[in-house]
Amino acid sequence: MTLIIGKKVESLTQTLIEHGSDEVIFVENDRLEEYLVLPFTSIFTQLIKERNPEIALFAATTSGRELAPRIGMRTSSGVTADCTGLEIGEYISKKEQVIYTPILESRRPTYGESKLATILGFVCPQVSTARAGTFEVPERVVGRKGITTPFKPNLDEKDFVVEVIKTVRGEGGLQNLFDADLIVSGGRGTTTDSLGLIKQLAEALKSQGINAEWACSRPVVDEGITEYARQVGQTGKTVRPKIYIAVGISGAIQHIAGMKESGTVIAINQNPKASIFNNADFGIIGNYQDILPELIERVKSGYTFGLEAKK
Amino acid sequence: MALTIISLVKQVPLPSEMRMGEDGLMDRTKAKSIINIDCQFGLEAGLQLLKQHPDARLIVCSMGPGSFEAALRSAVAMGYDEAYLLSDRKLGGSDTYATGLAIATMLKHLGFTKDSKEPFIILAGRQTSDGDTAHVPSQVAEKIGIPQATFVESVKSDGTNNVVAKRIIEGGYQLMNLPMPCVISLTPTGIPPRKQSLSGAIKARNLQITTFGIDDIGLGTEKIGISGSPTIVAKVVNMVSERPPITLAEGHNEVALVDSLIANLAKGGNVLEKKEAVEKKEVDRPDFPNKDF
Ligand SMILES: Cc1cc2nc3c(=O)[nH]c(=O)nc-3n(C[C@H](O)[C@H](O)[C@H](O)COP(=O)(O)OP(=O)(O)OC[C@H]3O[C@@H](n4cnc5c(N)ncnc54)[C@H](O)[C@@H]3O)c2cc1C
Repeated sequence: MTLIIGKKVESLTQTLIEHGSDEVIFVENDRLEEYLVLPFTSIFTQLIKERNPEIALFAATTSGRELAPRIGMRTSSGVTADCTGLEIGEYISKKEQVIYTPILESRRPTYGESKLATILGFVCPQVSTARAGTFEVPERVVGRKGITTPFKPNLDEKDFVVEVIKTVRGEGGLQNLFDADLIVSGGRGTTTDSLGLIKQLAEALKSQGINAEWACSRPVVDEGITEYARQVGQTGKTVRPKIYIAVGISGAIQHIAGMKESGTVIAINQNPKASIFNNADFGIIGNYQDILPELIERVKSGYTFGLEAKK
Repeated sequence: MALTIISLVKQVPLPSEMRMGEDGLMDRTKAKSIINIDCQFGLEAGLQLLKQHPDARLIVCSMGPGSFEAALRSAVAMGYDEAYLLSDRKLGGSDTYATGLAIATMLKHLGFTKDSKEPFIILAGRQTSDGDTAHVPSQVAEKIGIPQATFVESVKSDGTNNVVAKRIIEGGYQLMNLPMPCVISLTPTGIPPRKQSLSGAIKARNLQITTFGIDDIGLGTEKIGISGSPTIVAKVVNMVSERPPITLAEGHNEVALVDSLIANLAKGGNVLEKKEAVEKKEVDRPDFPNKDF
C-alpha cells in the first residue's frame, strides 16, 4: 500500500501500481504541491490510525529523514534511519518467553560503515527509512491492476504556519547517477587534470550509446573541482551501476559504502597496495594519465565494456 | 521580550580520518572527544542570531554521561551563557525516540513549551557522526509541538518572531519562513564555528553546569533506556567484502595493460555474488508462543 500526497498526483497512481503497489492511496491538494513536514506528518498519522499498518517505510531523503521521526514520535514508534537492508524475520524474547513474528529487520551500517546492525522495532508501525540507490526499483509491469483510493485528511490551519518562500532545484541532483549503467569515478589521484580524462572517458562512452556518467570521491568535492551531487560514498550518493570504474581512488570505507553494490568494479590506481584493489573485480596498476588515454581510444573505436548501446 | 537561543549538542569521538584496520574493524579507541561537527555549526548559527537579537539569552543543552560537561564548557567558551546536562544511568541505551523524548522533557521543564510567552529557537546539528540518524531534532520538535526545518545551511532572523531558513534538498535548496518557537538543524556547510575566546574560556572554567536526573524533570522510566526504547539493536556483524579476489591486468605498457584488462573482462566470472553475509546459526527455537503485534 502506497500513500502519495501532492498536486495532480492521481495520474501517478497507475505508475505506482505497475511498479508493485496493490493499493495506492492519494491525497490531492493544491496546497501540498511542495512537501511540508507538518501537514504530511498529520496526513500519514491519520492514515496509520485508520489502516493500522505493521510497517511504514520512507525514502532516506532530506524529507523522508525528518518526516519519519516526526511521525514516529506521534505514533510512539521508534525509527531506523538510512537502511540498506530490510527483511521480515522473528525475534525470540527470552525474557517475555514469546516469539515476535513477523517482525521487520532493518539493517544499517554503523561505525562508519564497517559494521552492519540489525534494528528491531516493537511498536507498530515499525518505521524505517531506506537509503536511496541501495534498493532496486521493482520492475514495471505495464497494465498491472490495483486499487486507487482517494483520502480526505482533516487538515489543521496550524500545520501551515511554515511557508516555503521558494524552491530551487539545480541539475535535478544528478539523479541519473542512480540509473547509469556505467560510472567512471575519479578520486584525489585524478585532480591533476581536474578530472579531464575521467570526463572524456564518460563522454566517449556516451557517444557510443552507453548510459554512462562520471562521479568522484569526497576530496574532489572538497577541493571545489566538482559539485557535491557527484560525490559517491557514505555522505554522498549510493550507486549501483552495472560497471563502476574507480580511478585514483584509494578505497576508504566511506567511499566503498557508496559503490559496493555495483555489478563489476574496475580499479585503476598506481599504488598496488591501495585498498580499492580489495574491493574490485578487475584492475590495472598504473598511472591514470597513461592508462585512460589508451582506454578512451579503445572506446572511440567501439569498445563498450560488454554493455549494449542504446540508441 | 528577549529571545532565548537554545543549542543542543552531543559529544562524540573524533571522527579522524577513519580507516579500516587489518582486521576489517574501525579503530575508535584512540579517538578523543569533540563536540559533534554538525552541532558546532548549530552553536555558530545561534551566535549569529545575536546580530538581530543582541540581548538574547544563550543556553546550551546536552544529554549524556558526566564527561559531556567538556562539550558544554567548550560551547560556553564560544559564547554561550548557561549550560544544562541531562545525565542519568536510566537513560543508558536509549534509542533516538527515547533521546528525543528525554531532551524535549528537559526543555519543557525549563519552561520552553509551545505556549511559552517568551520566544525561543532551538538549534541542533543535522546528525551526529556516531549515530548518523538525523532523527533527534525532528523528534524534539514533535514532542514539544513546534515547527521545524532540518538540513538547514543558514538561518536568519528578521528581528521579529520569524526566521528564514535555507534548507538543503536533493539537487538544490528551499527558503522557508518559520515562526518561533521552532527547531532548526544545521548542516556542516554554513558559517564555520568560531574559536573559543579568551574571556569565554575563563567564563567556561568558572561555569556552574546545571545537571538534571530524570526525576528532576519528571520523566518516568517507561519510555527511556534500553527497556523503554521502542527499538533495539538486535545484532551487529562485521561487514565482509563480498567480492572475490581481484584479477589484475598484466603488461609492460598501457597498450598491453588495457588489452589484458579487456581480455580479463571478456572472461568475466568475477562478478558480485550476493552471498549470505551472515551464516545463519541454527538457533534452538524455543517453544514460546508466537506474538503477532
Ligand atoms: C564521516 C566521513 C564521511 C566520509 N564520506 C565520504 C564519502 O561520502 N565519499 C568519499 O569518497 N569519501 C568520504 N570520506 C573520506 C574518506 O575517508 C577518504 O578520505 C576519501 O574517500 C579518499 O578519497 P580518494 O580515494 O579520492 O583520495 P586518497 O585517499 O588521497 O587516494 C588517492 C588515490 O589516488 C592514487 N593516485 C594518485 N595519483 C595517481 C595517478 N597518477 N594515477 C593513478 N592513481 C593515482 C593514490 O595511489 C591513492 O590511492 C568520508 C570521511 C569521513 C570521516
